[in-house]
Amino acid sequence: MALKFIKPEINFREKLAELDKPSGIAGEAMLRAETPQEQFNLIGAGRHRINHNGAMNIWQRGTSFSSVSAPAYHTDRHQTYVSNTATGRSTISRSTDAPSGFGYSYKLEVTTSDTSLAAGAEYGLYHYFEGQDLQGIKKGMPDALPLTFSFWVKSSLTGKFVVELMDNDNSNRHCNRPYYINSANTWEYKTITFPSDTTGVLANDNGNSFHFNFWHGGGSGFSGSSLQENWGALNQAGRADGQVNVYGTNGATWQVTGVQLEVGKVATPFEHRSYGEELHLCQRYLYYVGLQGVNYKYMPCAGTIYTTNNAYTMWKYPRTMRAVPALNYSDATDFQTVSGGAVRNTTAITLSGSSFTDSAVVIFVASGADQGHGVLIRSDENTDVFISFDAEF
Amino acid sequence: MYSTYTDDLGDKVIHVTGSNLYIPLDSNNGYYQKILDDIIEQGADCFEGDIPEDLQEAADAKRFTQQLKAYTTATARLTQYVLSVGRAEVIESQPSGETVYNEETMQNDVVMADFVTVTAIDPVDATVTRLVYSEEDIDADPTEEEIENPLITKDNAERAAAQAIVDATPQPVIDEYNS
Repeated sequence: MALKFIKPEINFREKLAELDKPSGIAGEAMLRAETPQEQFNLIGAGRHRINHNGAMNIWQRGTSFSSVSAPAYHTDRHQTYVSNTATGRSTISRSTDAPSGFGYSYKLEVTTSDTSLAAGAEYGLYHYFEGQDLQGIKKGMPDALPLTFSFWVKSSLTGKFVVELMDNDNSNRHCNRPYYINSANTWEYKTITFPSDTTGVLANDNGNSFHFNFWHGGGSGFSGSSLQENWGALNQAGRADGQVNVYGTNGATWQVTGVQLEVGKVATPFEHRSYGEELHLCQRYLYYVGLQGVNYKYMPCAGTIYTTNNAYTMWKYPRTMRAVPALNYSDATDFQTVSGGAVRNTTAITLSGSSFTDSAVVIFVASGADQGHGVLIRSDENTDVFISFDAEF
Repeated sequence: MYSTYTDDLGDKVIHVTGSNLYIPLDSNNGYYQKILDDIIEQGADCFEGDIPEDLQEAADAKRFTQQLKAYTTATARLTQYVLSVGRAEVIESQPSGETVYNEETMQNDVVMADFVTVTAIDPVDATVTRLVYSEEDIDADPTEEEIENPLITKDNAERAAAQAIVDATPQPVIDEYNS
């Protein structure tokens, strides 16, 4: 019996052409990835954004602040830094001007310029990290990992700007890298990869171990030697060399959103989180109780008139806070005790020393309150009443 | 300005005078660390009444740590060679790795040899020449001016700053450094 074999024709030219087929940018990045972690990041697997509130969605303290003259938090987890020798002033606000995919941005607008910077003058936007949240970057270990920083930025000024990573646990080792704003008043996407640092292990605790900082301006004390673009010991003159002085121009603006710090050498798409999740993360550092548009709003606490006039109230935070928080409030007369069939205006409010990272005792003083009654606390008719518990760095 | 508030149960917090801010006695709290910094900087002037003993102790401990850190850095800076002087070569006699049999002792003797343990570095030029252009006549040829080498100027300034820190360091801190 004769067998007939049919051999499929192979067009070698076509096969060779297939080898030339472009794999696309993402495919090439995948092929270039040096570690499984990078490939893991490239496909967006898992959680990769280390920082909080990168989309500038959470503004518990308010959404506009004028004449900022000292280091202070406005948008959650980000501290606008103005050193004590800096004379420039700005308005910080939540802006709805943001690139596609983002609802808000952090906006700084200079209202008083500082054209002659004092040597130690420093302006910036800081975000601090607990060391225990950064053990995964393996800083100080032989297999330390690089970090990649990405963000959207827009400014009325163009030129060289600086982003800084600093290790606050190890004598302020730092690595500063430039980015360039090329077009004024235009949203630009920037990515910066920072090398790994095999020196200086971060403490595995809730202390201030690490920060990033967007420089907005620095005096002569922060320039003079070239920018320290690799990890090294503190070199003040290499922290902001060449940085545009945003505060040098009255009316200048600088905006940022979509800020993401992640492990690896590749900037992956911004990891969006729900408002609720991001708020929850931020509440480890600030628990802010505002009126939410309601007068005579009852506060989330309950207590007893422990001694005549003194209402001891227990507050349970939504989550365990980083440290025992400080108490702040709008005004001592902004609240009322509701107790024993009477409403009384408060005259003083203090934090009790019996406060912890999961709860606080707050004492409201109201003349005439009878000992032994249970008590509720509510706001009065004012519209700007708040009480807050602050465990930021 | 700070004051201490003690509640009915005897628990203490710190009040920032003229504000609505009350700070717990928790070393992890950022405001608490600011109180310590203010005590270090301003002493009793920042407190209404006496500074609580535990706060003063915490501030003293923080200051001690800061001084030790500064002293360590300054001492390290001063051990670096002076740029204007350079560094002399240091030769030390060390075991060469070879041995020779000693017939008298019937043992191998280590052969010593001279090794350079610190290489010499020449001093940098004491002065440098810079060109000075006339502000009045932009077409005029620049003139030459001899100035101290900026590297030496910077080195001297840094050494002076380091020496000032060393001179101002209290003896207990130095003792801790040497221990």
